[in-house]
Amino acid sequence: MKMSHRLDKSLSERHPGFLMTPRRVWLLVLLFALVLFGAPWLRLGLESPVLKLSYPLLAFNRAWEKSALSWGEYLQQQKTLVINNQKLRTDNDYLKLKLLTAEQTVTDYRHLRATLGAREIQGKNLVARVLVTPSRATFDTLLIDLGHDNSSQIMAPGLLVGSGGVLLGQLVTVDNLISKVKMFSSAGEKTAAVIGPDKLPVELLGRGGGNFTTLLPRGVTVAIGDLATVPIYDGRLLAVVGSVDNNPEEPLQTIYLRSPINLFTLTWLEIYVH
Amino acid sequence: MFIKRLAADLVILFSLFFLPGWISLILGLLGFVYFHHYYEGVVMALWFDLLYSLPGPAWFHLPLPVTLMAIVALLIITPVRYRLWY
Repeated sequence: MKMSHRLDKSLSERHPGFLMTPRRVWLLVLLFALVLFGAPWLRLGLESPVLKLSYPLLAFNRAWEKSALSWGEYLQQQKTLVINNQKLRTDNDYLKLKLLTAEQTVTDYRHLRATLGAREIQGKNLVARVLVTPSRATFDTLLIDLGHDNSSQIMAPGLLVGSGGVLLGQLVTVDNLISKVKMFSSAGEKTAAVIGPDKLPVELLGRGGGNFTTLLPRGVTVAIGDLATVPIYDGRLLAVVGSVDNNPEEPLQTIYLRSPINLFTLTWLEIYVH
Repeated sequence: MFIKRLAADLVILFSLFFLPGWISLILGLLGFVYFHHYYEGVVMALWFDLLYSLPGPAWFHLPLPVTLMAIVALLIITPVRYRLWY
């Protein structure tokens, strides 16, 4: 008797539930259109509940990461702690002396600004803990643990965010307990800035992860270490020139800049409330 | 299969909070390949978007880019895996 290797039933008869029927395809296309065109309403309705539900897990993860790191460091660097301690004591004495000098400089600077009629930067900064760094979120965004309910001052989208006087980004979403920050270095973001002591006006293009690039004519001299500041945000520091690609075959030179702050190890942030 | 699917859902859901984003995306893609009609993947992509994403030039100003990619992945991968595996 001749055996046939053909199956008795067709594919769709054997697994009818697995088939992508035209009806299912149309439903998915409809869902795609709904997400594409109804996204603002989806965000409006669902973003706040999602952030609220995610907050405990994100806060737990942050606390766990922190404790795991400190235990690891403790085990690894126990022997070097004594040496570091001695070095830090020496550094501390030196820095105290430097701080005294700096305080005098700041007083002089304020006096000068007041004399020249320049606007004083005022306002108390809020300090927020970083819940999620850009290494977790693939969009170069930060989540911070300050919102409407747990902030001493009014939080609103558009407020500037930085660390140690260095600009990092702006608040985009403010929820009850969590806020979302968009970095100036997000890929494709453009920021008007000035570079170097000559205050060359440039447009910095975000490259993600605290990096920027800009193009300048080859004749313009830009040195490594030159500062890029943002005039419209009180001339705050945004990035430092890391390298200059001055290829003689190209009409323009590419300037690579990076933020002095490492976004991936960021723990605390300041929100500049004006 | 139900237990496997539930376990995978939980792993992917927790990866959103505890692992880097690119790992969550890869796990989600594997979910689409391994399970038939993996609609939970779309829901988790929406969760990922609402939690982390912001419209910007890097993603062509798409409002919810990962969710849209998940729907397209579901549309493409489901018939392909059906033909390959059954």
